Amino acid sequence: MLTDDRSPLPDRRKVLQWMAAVSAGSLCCAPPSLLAADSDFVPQPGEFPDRPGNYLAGELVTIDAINRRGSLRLDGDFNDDRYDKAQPHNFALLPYGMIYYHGAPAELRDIPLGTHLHGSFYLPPEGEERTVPPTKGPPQYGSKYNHAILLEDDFSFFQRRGWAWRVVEINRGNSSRMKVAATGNSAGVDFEKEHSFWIDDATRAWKGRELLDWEAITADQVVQLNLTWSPEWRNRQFRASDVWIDEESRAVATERQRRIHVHYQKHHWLAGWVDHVEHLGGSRGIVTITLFGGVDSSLLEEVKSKKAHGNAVAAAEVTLRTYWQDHDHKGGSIVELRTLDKPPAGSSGIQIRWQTGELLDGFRPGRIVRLRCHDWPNVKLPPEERLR
Amino acid sequence: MTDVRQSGEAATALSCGRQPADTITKLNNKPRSGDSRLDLLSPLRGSVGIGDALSHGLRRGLCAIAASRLYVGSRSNSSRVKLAFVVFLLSLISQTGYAEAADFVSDIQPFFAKYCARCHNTKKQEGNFRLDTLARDFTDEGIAQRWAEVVFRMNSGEMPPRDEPQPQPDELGRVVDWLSARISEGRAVRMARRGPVAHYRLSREEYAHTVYDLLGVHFDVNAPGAFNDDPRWHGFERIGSLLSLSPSHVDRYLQAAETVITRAFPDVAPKAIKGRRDDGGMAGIPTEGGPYRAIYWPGVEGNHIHMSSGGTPVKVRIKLSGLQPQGGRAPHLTVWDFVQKKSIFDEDIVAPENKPVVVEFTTTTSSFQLLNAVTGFPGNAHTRSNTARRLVSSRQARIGHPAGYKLFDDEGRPLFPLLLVDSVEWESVPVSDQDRQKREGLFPTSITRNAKAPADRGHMEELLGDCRKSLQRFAGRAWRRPVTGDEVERYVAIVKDELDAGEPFGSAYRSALVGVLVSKNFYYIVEGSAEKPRDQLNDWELASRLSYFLWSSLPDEELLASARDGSLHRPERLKAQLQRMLDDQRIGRFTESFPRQWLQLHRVGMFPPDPGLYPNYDRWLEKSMVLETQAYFAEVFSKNLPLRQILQSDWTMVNPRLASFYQLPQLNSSGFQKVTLRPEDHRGGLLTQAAILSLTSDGTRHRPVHRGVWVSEAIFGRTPPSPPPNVEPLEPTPSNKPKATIRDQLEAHATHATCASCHRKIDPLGFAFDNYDAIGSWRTTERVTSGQGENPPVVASGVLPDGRPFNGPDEFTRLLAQDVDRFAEAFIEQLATYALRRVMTIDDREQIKLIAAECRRNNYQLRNVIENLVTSELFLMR
Repeated sequence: MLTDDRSPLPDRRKVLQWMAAVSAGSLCCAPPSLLAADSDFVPQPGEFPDRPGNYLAGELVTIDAINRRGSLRLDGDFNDDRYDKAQPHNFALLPYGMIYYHGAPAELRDIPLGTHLHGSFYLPPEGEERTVPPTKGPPQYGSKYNHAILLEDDFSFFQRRGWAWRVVEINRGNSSRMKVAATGNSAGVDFEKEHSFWIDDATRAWKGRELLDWEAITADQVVQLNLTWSPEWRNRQFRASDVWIDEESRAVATERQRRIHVHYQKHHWLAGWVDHVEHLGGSRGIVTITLFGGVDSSLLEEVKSKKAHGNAVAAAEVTLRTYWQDHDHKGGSIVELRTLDKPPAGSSGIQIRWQTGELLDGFRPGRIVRLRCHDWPNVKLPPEERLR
Repeated sequence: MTDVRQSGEAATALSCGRQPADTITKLNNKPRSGDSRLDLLSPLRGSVGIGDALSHGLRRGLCAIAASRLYVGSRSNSSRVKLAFVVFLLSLISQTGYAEAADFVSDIQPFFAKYCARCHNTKKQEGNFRLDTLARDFTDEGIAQRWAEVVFRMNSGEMPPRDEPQPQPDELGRVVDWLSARISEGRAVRMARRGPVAHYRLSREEYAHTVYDLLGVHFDVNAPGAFNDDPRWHGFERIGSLLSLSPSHVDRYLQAAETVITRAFPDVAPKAIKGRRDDGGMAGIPTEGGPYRAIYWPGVEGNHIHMSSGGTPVKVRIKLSGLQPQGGRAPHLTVWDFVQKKSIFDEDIVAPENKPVVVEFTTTTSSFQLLNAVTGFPGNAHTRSNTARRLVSSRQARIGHPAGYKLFDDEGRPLFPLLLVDSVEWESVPVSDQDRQKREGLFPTSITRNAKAPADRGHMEELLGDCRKSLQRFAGRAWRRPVTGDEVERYVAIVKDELDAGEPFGSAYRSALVGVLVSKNFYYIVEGSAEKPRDQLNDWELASRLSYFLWSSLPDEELLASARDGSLHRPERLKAQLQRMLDDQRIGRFTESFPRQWLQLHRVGMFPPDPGLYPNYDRWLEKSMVLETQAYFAEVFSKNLPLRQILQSDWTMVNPRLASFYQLPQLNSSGFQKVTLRPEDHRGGLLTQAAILSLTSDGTRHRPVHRGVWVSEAIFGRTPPSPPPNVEPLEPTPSNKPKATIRDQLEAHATHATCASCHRKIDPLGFAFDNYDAIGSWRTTERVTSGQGENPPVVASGVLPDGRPFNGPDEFTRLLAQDVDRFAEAFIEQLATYALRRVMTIDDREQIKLIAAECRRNNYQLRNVIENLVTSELFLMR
């Protein structure tokens, strides 16, 4: 991808430099817990990881949106054999795994196949070793880190870190390229070099609220972009699928995705897990729940502001799927709400003590639940989404 | 069930009775001696001899006649009125001569003179009614009814009229009390009348025990359509004058006899069955990955288990654990016969998960289902459908569906009372040696059950001779007395008739056996002789009285042998037989049945408590309450404890359900067990038992007046007068007034003169237990739903009729226990009512006092009380 425009072939040194930069950038801007990988770390049920995941990037090639699973074609490493034989890297999202798309929280279903993603991964949690089927093909091309705590598209990945790309030059022709230079918060990172991406008339250019042809992309624009597959994938070359050429277009994209996310969450409810259950006799009890991160802050604010009206909680699984939530949720009320100052990665920082008269078997420490504010929709989800 | 208390109803029942052609001797209500009208004139006859009573009656009759002749057709004339009144007084005085008669003269008669005589005398008969000539023969139903009308009018405030001088409450109350007592005594005398031959029909319960002891056949008399309910008198369901016979009884006796005989002597032995369900009655549970145990959470029902037993006895064994949550109730296994819609087995199960127990019972049902009959499980149907029905171990990481109810906490401890059922097994019960022995010699071995009558006349006569011998033996056992040859021949004739009609020999003989069981000699206990009237029981009658008293069944062979050799009536022989009977396991029928009838335990649950007010009340609690009282009585009996412990004790008998209800320490095993009570438990003695406290309540609140009446009847042996008609119900406290207890409302309510005088005597007996709500839970404040402010505190203080004050149930029961003589006398009267199958009358009081005096020497120990009753003249007399 990051090639010297004077040479049609990629410069291995430059590519590695870019990767290093990206990786370093991700480390710089990621939450503290994601800063330094521990390859042997195994996530425990009921505990957020206290150490970073392993960085993997690649293009999204399959998804099982309902079960929050998919596979990435990991970025190329100039290895022809890998290009020939490597199988996609299967992954599952941890229950507290977060996804960002267009700068806003998202679900796997919001991300088109072919989108290049950056992610942070762990070994399978205890008890989940068989959740992700092992990748076929030569073992040296697979990765054992298959449970994601974070997935982001390039837009989100760079924007969230304060980075952008300044268009240096557009070269339209048989091998159209867009030469860009990194800009923004790059302190301490050697990221001054120029890079180029494939670009053509399939590339979508976004300006304000409009979708324009690629001619709208011109030099000196500061852009965010999303990348996708190109024939030179093995050499880490990508095609720019979307280019947001002004601030407004980026804000519109983020807001549009935020709305999709809020709509989805209000119908599927906020996920969290059970920290503790106080049994008060029979089916009565108080359940302590920590809500997961990766959701829009407005939803968490609603939980705080509406706690006096009562809430419903449904049992869920690690995929965040529920059973028949409109029927089998239980009503109760939040008797205490705590906000953590420095929540670990995966946590929203909000912990509640929720009292109910009907404890469900799924209300056990480490188990997943979903919480609904009193005025959020209580609808039957489609059958394929429900657990039986 | 009916509880007939009015003699009128009893009389109706008698008059409506129908008797089968060959069975019934008409009930002879002729009194023992003398003319009934004259003999029964005095309500206080018991204190004098029969001759005295006759002379007093004659004297009174003459006076009444004289008064009547003198003043018939008289007109208004004050001097005549005065004279008439004087004569009326004379007539009344002439009837008396006993201690209580003085009360009439000094207390009652002046009342009538002062308030009634002006309008109901010779000169004036308002409402066509005169009091001056109304006799006081309360044993005469017509006269008693007229006096009852007087009581009614006074009670209702109708008399004296408002514009006439009004009596003081005490005056009115005294008169009503006196009249009510006499009316009640008169009714008792009528109910206790015995002719030369008295017939006492077996109650349902006695019928069942009798056929079992006779033939070893369990016949379910409580099955739908099996038998009619027995009418009750103050809880007693064996009072001869109430147990009449109707056509429907005859029809049911016939059906019952056919069933019993067919089961005892079947054509073909029933096929033995055997089966097992490893899924504990939960269908669809795979056996892989197991062994699984079926989880019965509260309220869950298993699937129907069909046994195809064909009505023959089957022994069922259930292997299971019962997990009790900390501070909660024990799980309760109910085996539900869904055909008859009744429970056939009930038990609290307390057994650790790793130490299952096996419970077993015998039933004749063909299918049933298991049920954990405990309430308190959440009711969302959808969530219940998701809740776990099986497990391997509570230590499993995941037991249930996440969207089902949580059954175990996060350490594996049960959150609810849970039954874990491993298996259900069943197997036909073979006829026991004991039961086989009962049937021995009752079916001639020479008869092939399906054989036709032989053509050879000689052979036929030989077979009929065998039948004759067997029938003689069977009738003698069934009728509890020697049977004459003529009597047997009637049943041999049945065999012949059936053979002539083409029936096989076995079937013909069975018809004769059925005939023996539908004879009046079987379902009536007969005492006396039409030919030779006598007051003493003969030994055969004594044997039956004894066995039906203690075993609710027929005499066994040893008892009959004592009757046969004529030694039973001898005191030493009688005592020996009594001791043997008291030690026999069949005595359990007495310790179960007598307290149930005496204490009217059938009233427990008669008004099901409102589930909204008493959510913890359920069928098993109700049953446990009754079982506690029965187990308590059985303990007093088996340990031969003094009667005082019936009133006050520091122990009781509870099962896990009651222990939880009484908030006693949790029990570690199933079943009833004796526990020591602490002062803070606020229990001890009969009167603080939940059954007693419940049966005197309605479905929403406790009823102090009913509790007071019950204490008066059961403990003091005295029935207070009936309440006046049209009593205004207690109104809820108005919403703008402070909350008021029932006691406050009652005290404000009893403003009518008669009400006040009675309530003063009755209510304190009930107020003593105001610390217990309608189902017997302890409380210190009374829950009041209407009105303002906090729930008011309970005030359980009062003053006994003899003036002794008390504060709370503990002090009250202590005072009662201090006056045990009075209770003992009342108890013996109840025991005698049960034993003699008739109401005790004033005639019996002297005997009862003698028995009580004898019992006092042994500190009223229960077995000694029974012995003194059995060896008393009262028991040996007809």
